[in-house]
Amino acid sequence: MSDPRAAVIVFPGSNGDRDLLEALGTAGFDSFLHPSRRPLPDDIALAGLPGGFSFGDYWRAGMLASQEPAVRSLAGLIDTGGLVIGICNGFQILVEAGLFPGALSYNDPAGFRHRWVNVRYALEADSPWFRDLDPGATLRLPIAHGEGSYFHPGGFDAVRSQAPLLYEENPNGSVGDVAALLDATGRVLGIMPHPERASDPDLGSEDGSMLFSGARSWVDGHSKPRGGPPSTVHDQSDQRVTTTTGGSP
Amino acid sequence: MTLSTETTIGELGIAMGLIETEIDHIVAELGREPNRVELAIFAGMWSEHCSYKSTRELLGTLPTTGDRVLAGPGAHAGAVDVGEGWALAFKIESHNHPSAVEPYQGAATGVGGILRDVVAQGARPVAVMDALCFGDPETPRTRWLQDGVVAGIGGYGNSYGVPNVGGVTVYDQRYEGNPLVNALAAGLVRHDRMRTAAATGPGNALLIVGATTGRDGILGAAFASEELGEDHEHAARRSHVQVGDPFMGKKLMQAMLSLEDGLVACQDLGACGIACATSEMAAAGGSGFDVDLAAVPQREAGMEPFEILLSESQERFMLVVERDQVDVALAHFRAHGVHAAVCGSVTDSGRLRVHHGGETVVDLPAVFVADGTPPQVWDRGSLPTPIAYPGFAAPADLGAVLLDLLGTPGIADVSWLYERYDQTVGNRTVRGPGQGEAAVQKLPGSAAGYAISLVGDGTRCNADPHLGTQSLLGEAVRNLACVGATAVAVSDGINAGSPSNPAEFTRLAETIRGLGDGLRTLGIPVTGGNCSLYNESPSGPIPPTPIIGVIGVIDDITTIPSPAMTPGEVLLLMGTPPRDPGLSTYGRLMTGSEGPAPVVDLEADRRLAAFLVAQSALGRIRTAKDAGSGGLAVALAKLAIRSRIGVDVGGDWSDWALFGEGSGMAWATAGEDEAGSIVEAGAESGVRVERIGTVSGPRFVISGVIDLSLNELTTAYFGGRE
Repeated sequence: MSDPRAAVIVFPGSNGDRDLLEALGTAGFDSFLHPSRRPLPDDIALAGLPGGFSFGDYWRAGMLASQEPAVRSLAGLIDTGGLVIGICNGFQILVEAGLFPGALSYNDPAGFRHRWVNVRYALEADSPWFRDLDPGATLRLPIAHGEGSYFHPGGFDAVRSQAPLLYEENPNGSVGDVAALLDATGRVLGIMPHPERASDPDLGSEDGSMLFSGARSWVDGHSKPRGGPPSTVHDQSDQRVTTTTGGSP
Repeated sequence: MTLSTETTIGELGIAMGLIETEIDHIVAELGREPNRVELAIFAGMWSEHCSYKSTRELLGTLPTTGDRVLAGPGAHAGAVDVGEGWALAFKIESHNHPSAVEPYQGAATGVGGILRDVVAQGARPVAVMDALCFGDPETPRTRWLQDGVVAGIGGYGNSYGVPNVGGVTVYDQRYEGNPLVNALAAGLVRHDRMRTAAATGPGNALLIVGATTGRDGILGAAFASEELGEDHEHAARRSHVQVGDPFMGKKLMQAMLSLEDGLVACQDLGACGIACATSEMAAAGGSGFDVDLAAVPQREAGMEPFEILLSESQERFMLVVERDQVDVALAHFRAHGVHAAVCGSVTDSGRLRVHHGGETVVDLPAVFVADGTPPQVWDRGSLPTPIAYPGFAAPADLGAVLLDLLGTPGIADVSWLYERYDQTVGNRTVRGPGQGEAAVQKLPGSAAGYAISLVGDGTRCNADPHLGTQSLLGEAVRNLACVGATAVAVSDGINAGSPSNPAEFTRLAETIRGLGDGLRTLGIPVTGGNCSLYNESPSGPIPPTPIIGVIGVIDDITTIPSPAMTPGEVLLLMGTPPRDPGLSTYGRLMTGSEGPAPVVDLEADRRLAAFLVAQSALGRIRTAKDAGSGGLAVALAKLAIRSRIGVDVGGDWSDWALFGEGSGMAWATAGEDEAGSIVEAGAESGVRVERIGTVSGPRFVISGVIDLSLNELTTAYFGGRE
């Protein structure tokens, strides 16, 4: 049986797309880059929204990207049992698209911050993303963002049951130390730290790979209700846009 | 600048920054007076910034060849073989004057500019490092500059998606009026995919791609070639500073690197814009260009020909594309959301011909514009002889001295600064800022990697530029060895005062002589770099400040030393602690005077580095840290702070042994079993290795002279920031 397909949505200005592509590939997905200006193909098990500065993020982070056709087509994927992960800017885009409540605002203290942080798995969630984690486990992951302070008008209590990961030392002023959110299905994950950058022991931590391996094993036990022939939506010009790996690192 | 019709060409040329002999030379070569547009091109291209007219001869003495060198000086960026078919393209650039008047954009466009050099070489950027020199860190002006510069470097690099993996920050009163902002960028490219600037094939098309051309940064190169004025004059200079757009820069990078078909040559548009790119590409290829300025996409109406030619608008490249591939190339850029336009063609005339509105506004021999600047000869003067420190008795409390040193700007923690930069994007960073003595990254799908050390100094070079520069090279080679890397190539950023001042020109010449002598001793070539002169403000010149980036290679990153010591490891002292007073932060702290020439022994550094690399490759070295500013005691204290664990060191220690600075000294730790083997191997390699202590407990103890808690060290080092 071939590996389940995973689309990494590439927005103009994405910069974590290759990192996520590799992490998903290592976990056993047939991962590929997909341009944000096209709706997602039908035959995927997972869509990932990478970090970066989509459209330069000269406006509110993720605002423009949330209107892209690929993002608008996420609802179909979620309705049919698919998985979604939005990392950093990808999380900001999912919030802007209305898939999560609240807002991700400017860090407090203000400014872009890169730091290795510990996040604690604080929820016994029935989620594909966390099936490889024991409750109370700590993950070491890097953060790299300027607008990652999670805010909800109802405070932490309003999202407590949706918040699987909490910062051990809050780096950005998020309410209740929230570092990530799950939707009601448990299949859609928004996360500010970067699990895809913590998937190689040589680079400081491989704690993040557990999220991807969990998702991968979950997919095996949950065939999607619909299938179809492999997608052929990439025309020649898309290949040139998205497949730039040829002779470059 | 106004091009008044009443001024003569000679007066106008002088006003633009040319000197009389240069104008005479131009008239003699052309057999006529240049017109006003041509004159503006010469003013830009023959500025110090573009022509290196004061330094070309000096730089020509540097060693530039080596087994691993794939591209040397003159290419967009130097490139070295780092194994497995990969080349690392890398280069240093300065953006000192723009950053002094507009710190955010000055620094941001400095990063953008050096990234374009790497992309022009065909390489995908993988790392940025920065070297910053500021005045007193406590003044409001320094804070304003530093905040702006750091935000600008981060703002561009973070958005572009290239990690910042470290650098150096220097504080000295003499940078107060003229801060230094140098950036190094590195990128990876397959050997066979490197690109050239040589325009060839008459009839091939000249394309301009990326951002539109506006009035920003006109004659920025000439601005960079003058001394800075008083603060209140800076506002008038801001039109010389460009504005960066990292989103466009990133799109442009992706479009440039994925262009496959028909690309003959390319060059980024930096200083002197189109005038520079066209003349240099033609000169490199032995060809010429016909350029149509009306075809250059412009940001605003009514731009003069000289403005279009010399605009330093950011995020632009010029390309030569095979004539039958032009449509494919244009479609490629369109698909990436990047402007591209055909604005000329290659000719075999050897001339740069520029047309505007049916008129030929420029008709010049390209080689003459690009390479014809007469060398500028400056008088040398004598330098003051460095004077030994006045004698003083060793303080009774050497622990207090250590705490003072740990809080000294330049030694104290700057991790808050690096937190503003993305350090891990791209999944390549094995050791980032604060995690090792040099940055380490790994090659795609491999255990092999490379390391980069970026060092800079003004103090040692001010005392003696020839020895100071060599001391700096030694430091970089030791840094690399502490992460298991063998130094293979150098990019140099020389920052100096005005060459018209005989003393400053002598310092500059001595700096470059020191670089050459040091490189020859170490057997390492230089593959390119940058010279920034005229770094003077009304309060005086900066000290001569070389910023040196050294690339090292690592066969297997899984065997390199760890960032942190662990309990029970044996502490090894490598090299011989100093006995006598020498140039050091300690000496300056105690006496307030400049001090003697630095103590340098590059042979000792080379032996130590080779030894550390060999022992690391055997997997014997758990951690390593060389002694730099603050000497052995500060190095060990920093290692203890980073490891959050104490040490217990034996031996007999004087103040100069603890805090003196020199060559060939490092700390290492090893497991009990390996320690003996390392000591033995040291004896065979001519490196003194002494078992001198253990790693354990919450206290930092150096036998009989220092006994401090880890908390005291941490508080002093972080200055209450952590």
